[in-house]
Amino acid sequence: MYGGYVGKILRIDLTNGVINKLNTLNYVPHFIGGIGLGYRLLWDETNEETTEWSSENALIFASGPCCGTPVPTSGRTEVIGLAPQGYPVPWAAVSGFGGDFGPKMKFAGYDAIIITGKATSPKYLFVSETEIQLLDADFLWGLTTYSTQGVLLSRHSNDVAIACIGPAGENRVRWATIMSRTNNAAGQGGFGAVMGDKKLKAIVVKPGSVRVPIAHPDKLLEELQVIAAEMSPKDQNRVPLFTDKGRYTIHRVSCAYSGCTGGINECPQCYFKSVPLKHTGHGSMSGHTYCAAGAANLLLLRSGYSEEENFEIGKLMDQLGLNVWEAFLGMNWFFQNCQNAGKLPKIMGEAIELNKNGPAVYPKTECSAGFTAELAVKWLRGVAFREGEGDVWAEGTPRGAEMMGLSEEVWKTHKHGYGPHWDGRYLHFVHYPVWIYSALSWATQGRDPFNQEHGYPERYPSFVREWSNQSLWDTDTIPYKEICRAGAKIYGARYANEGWDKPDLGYIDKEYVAVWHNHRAIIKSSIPVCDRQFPLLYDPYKKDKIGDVDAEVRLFNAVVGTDWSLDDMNKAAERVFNVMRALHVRQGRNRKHDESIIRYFEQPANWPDEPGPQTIDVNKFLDLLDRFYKLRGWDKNTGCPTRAKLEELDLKDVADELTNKRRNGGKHGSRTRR
Amino acid sequence: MTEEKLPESSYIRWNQKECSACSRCLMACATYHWGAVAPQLSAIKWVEGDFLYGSQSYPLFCKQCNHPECYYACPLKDAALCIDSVTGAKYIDKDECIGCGECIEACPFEVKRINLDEEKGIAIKCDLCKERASGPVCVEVCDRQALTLVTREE
Repeated sequence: MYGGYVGKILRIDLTNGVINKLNTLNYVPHFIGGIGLGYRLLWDETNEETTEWSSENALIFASGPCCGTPVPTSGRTEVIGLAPQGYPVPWAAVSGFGGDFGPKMKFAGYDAIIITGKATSPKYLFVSETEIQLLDADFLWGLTTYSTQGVLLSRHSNDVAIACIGPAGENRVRWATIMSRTNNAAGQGGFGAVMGDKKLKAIVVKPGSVRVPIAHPDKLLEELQVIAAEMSPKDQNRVPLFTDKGRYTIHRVSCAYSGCTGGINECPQCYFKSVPLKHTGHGSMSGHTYCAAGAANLLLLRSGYSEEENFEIGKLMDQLGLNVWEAFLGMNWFFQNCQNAGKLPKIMGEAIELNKNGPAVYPKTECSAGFTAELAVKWLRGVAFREGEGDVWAEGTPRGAEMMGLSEEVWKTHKHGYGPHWDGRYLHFVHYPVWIYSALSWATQGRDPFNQEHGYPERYPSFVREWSNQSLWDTDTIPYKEICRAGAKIYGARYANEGWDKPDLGYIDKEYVAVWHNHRAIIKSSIPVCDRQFPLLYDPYKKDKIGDVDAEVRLFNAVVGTDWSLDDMNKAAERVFNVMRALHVRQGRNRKHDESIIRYFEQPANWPDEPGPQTIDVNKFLDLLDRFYKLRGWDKNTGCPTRAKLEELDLKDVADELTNKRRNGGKHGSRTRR
Repeated sequence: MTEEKLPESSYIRWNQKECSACSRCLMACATYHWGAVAPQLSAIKWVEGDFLYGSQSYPLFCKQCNHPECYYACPLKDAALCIDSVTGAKYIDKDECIGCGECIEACPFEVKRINLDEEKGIAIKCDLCKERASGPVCVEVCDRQALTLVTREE
């Protein structure tokens, strides 16, 4: 018997109300948990005809073995399904959120919940240790995410955890979120729309007395002390929790310490108290924000708005169930590009003047897109309720652009349906050749990969002395030469971190980096732990500058009782990555789709005084892609995992189905409009 | 009932200002004592805040009262609910406890600081990790040092 898992997966078919319980141990530890478990379940639930709106599209809420234990940052839930935001195909994707949902789902007795089928009228699912009920939700339909949670807390008890949708999800907006509490959201992917399509307003889990067993408690407690200290070097835990940052801001802590999302609570980022509402209604509002929902709203609104007004707009999105990230790190810049090209004089019927210096945000230009708060509110509400032109933008950026005849602008911001992120353009300016790795990772995945692969584009540069004054974790930095030596050891590839001062090395060995981070992304979101903090790559206070890179494996072993090496764990992650790729291939993915991101990277990175090139070298990148496919054991021409690779990973059934697909000619059923 | 005066007890002090409400103390408590985590297995109670209106969840700890109603209420006093001679902690002997719930009933606080594990049929109560060489596990895992063991001499 393994520790960490509670042993059951709940499956409910909303079409007929049939409930099944699957044995978790049929899937783990082979597929680890979290997204690993989720991708395998999704493969089993769907077929090549399945689309985002199919009754068969499964929406899976999965936790992992370390969730519901004292492992730092383990309070996480992963959502897996065919994602409405994906373009041109709703590529299978994941989106995770922190908070109490995952632990409480386990205390109710389930490692995961699979939602399939469609209800004919609004419902919500109540899950406890003794009951599973599909209840009428007519009275909740139309309510915001906050009101929905308020009603459900009153109706049940104040210890339940809730994942729910707002009006945006109900109206199948392709960038609708699933919200839990006031600031935890599964955003990217648009899974709120899948819930809405299934007429499922909420899932309520009531914690019971189900135990999460720990295989080696003493070992776990010992590891916690070591790893928590590594996560919070340089007195991160001494940062005061309560700081008066402004009149209404009373609570702000850093996003880099071991107390985050520890067990059954959420990222304790920034708390706003009694902010008077200026743009969205009467009265006042309190609430937490995370970095994405706080400071970054500044990217949407015209400069001159206060932090509290940005908070207010962010909270409007949370209540409507709209993805803040797509609003201010995607569609906003698309609008700016269109307007600067003279192609979009009006939005929602209003003549506008967005920031002409946009959308480049660093180092000299203004970052704000230039929306007025009034327009932002009108636009967001219009989208959530599909009113007027809002109905167009509810389809997401690429599909909305198609409908408006603006497709020629959309590739400048969006890849596979998702806005820019850690790729050297727009918000995140990163040095060459860091963004070469970003391009490779973007190419081969179904969604924006930097929910989980921050390690290379964010953590590595923040430690380089020549590039930054202090690391994100407020520690000392590391000279470039030394971090190159450390990288060579970490990735097992001599030139993994090289290329900045020797541009010819920029494309060399980056395939090893990509495979390494692909796997680490799966490991941390499967066991699960925070997708931003792990892996612990570098330690400036150690002689070799290498951090605790196998921390996740030791935590997993202590909880589960396995004796896995990092190689064993990587093998499991490789299995999951190939199931993900097989899902995409079954959806019609091929090399052309991977290469579609190249022209985005032909746009200059605009880093001033940079010794390296500013744009991608297409031939070198195609060679890099070849090497990546070869390293992965994928067919060079199609990008499809080979039978030999799949069988090596105990995925013969997956190989058989892909063979049948090829024999039958293969097809997929993406639709751009409902 | 005559109640003898008991020696002062050590206890866990919680500093609200430093607590980020991560809940790892609660989970570490259950991990150390029972090798498993579930809300009822922890001797630390969790109070859900009203997150829609900004109040934060927080942990509650046994006060190790110097006038311990739980101890006096136990029908198997000094066998099932005992007093540790070193720390003064009131603790449950899991082999003797019959899970009658009298100690929980007697706990004077609105949120009772003792849990009942129905499966094991015993009460779950803070013992200040009296057999743990490095002291209470909750104090150890609290990275923000919001928890302190106040010893009986202090």
